[in-house]
Amino acid sequence: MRYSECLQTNEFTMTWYGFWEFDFAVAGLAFVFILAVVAVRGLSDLRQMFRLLDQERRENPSQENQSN
Amino acid sequence: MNFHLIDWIIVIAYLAATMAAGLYGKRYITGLGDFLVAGRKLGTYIGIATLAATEIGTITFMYYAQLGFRTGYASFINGLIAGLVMIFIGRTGFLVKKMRAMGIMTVPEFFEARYSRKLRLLTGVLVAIGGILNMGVFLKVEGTFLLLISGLSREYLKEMMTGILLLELLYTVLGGMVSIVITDFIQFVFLGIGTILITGFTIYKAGWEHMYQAVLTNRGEAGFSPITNPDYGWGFILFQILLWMAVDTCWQTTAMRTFSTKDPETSRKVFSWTGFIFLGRGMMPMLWGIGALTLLGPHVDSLEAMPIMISKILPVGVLGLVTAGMLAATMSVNSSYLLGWSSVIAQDVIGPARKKPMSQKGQVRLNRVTNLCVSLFVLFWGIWYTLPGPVYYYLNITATIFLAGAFAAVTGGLYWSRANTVGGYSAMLAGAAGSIAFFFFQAPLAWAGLGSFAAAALAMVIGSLVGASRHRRNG
Repeated sequence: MRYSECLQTNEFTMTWYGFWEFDFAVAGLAFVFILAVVAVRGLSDLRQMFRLLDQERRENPSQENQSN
Repeated sequence: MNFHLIDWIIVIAYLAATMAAGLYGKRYITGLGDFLVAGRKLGTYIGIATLAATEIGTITFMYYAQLGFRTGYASFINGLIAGLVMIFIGRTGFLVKKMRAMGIMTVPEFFEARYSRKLRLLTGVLVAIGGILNMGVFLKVEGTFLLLISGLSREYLKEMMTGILLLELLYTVLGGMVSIVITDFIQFVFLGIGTILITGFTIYKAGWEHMYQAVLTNRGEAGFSPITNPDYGWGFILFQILLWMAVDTCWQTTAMRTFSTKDPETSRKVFSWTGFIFLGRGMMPMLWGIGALTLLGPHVDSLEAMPIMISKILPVGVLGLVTAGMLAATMSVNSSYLLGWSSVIAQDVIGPARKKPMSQKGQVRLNRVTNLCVSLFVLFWGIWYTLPGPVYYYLNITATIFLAGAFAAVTGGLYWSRANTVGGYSAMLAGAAGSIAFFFFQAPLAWAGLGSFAAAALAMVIGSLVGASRHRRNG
């Protein structure tokens, strides 16, 4: 069965197919976009985490840290 | 052998780099808070990376691709629900904001803070049983994937499983959550690139229209509609919505990310953004399953179809890069799960049962020992246990052992002032009933799961009312 024939033969199936195609496009684009943003900005978050952990270690060198 | 020298070099270089980064994390461990929740220093972007990397593993790709292969486009409903539920939680802050504000480190800790120490112990036992059984099949599925994609003989499955376990154990035991956060970031980037590459190659090789035709020919209308598909239907959809609400809020590995963020607002943001990642996390591997159906036909084993297809369509070099991405995914998930479940045993089962409180150093040591014990169990369970059906269904029902009860008890505890300890006990015990019905009486997944959530909610309400009236009589 050709794609164009399928389009005409089953409206119910094609409605679902169109819905999933749209969802897939949104999901794929969002994935790529967030991956790019996190790859760039996550690095500075990571550096900040190290800085804070280092600072905590310097402030309490002999004491084990407590979590809030 | 599908791998060429360049593929092996890429994989080994990647493994060495990850190990070094993971071991680097050890220098920041000065106490239990650093070991379990990275000192609660996670910002939004690193929070997204670590939450996404924790919940995207080779196991995720395998079970979602299996669903895509078996049920075509209708399987997308699973990805859609997972993503939308997480976005909803992120937008509203439902449960996560209040839980983060409590400053706890594990889910069962909530039960002591809101209910009683003994209920924390019971919850800890149920969480550990459900979680470890859930993780029990990971190594076997991941080992199978790596053998199929690399072209190594299946005789090496046990060696492959042991190898994966040893690698992740090394840096989890030494560096705890700080190491996991560092490696999660690297792994998120790698697995993200790997996911995009496989999706691109699948569409290119199988063809968009051919995939549609393959689903129509082999699965018919049920390959498109989750309502008419016999594997799904309204009962399954409702169960998935409840299950994902519970996973996002009460699943130990997800909750640990909530507890690790620097404040409640950051945890809310992390969930909103990761929800969008979760849409792709589901739908892209499902499309690989559809691609495998298109290229290999319907008579291949549904779980093995996707790795076989990948090994055939990816060119030299890209195969190594993608395998490194998959290894990244494997290690990020397994290390977090190891830490998550072993921390529950140490913090919520052994810890509260001891009369004398332990020092923080003692607790870190205990966490490392439980890490080793859980690893050994997972290895042997993976070798000896045979899955009764699709991996996804097994994972759903083992998770429900404690999630149904925990979700009812946590929601009641945070939003209903009359919730009490009797209600908490009732919810936890009733919530485990559906899983027992599934395993021992072969009840259908959707109804066993839905039954668990309904029974837990009902038990929470009735138990709390009975508990309150008994308290009034006694008082």
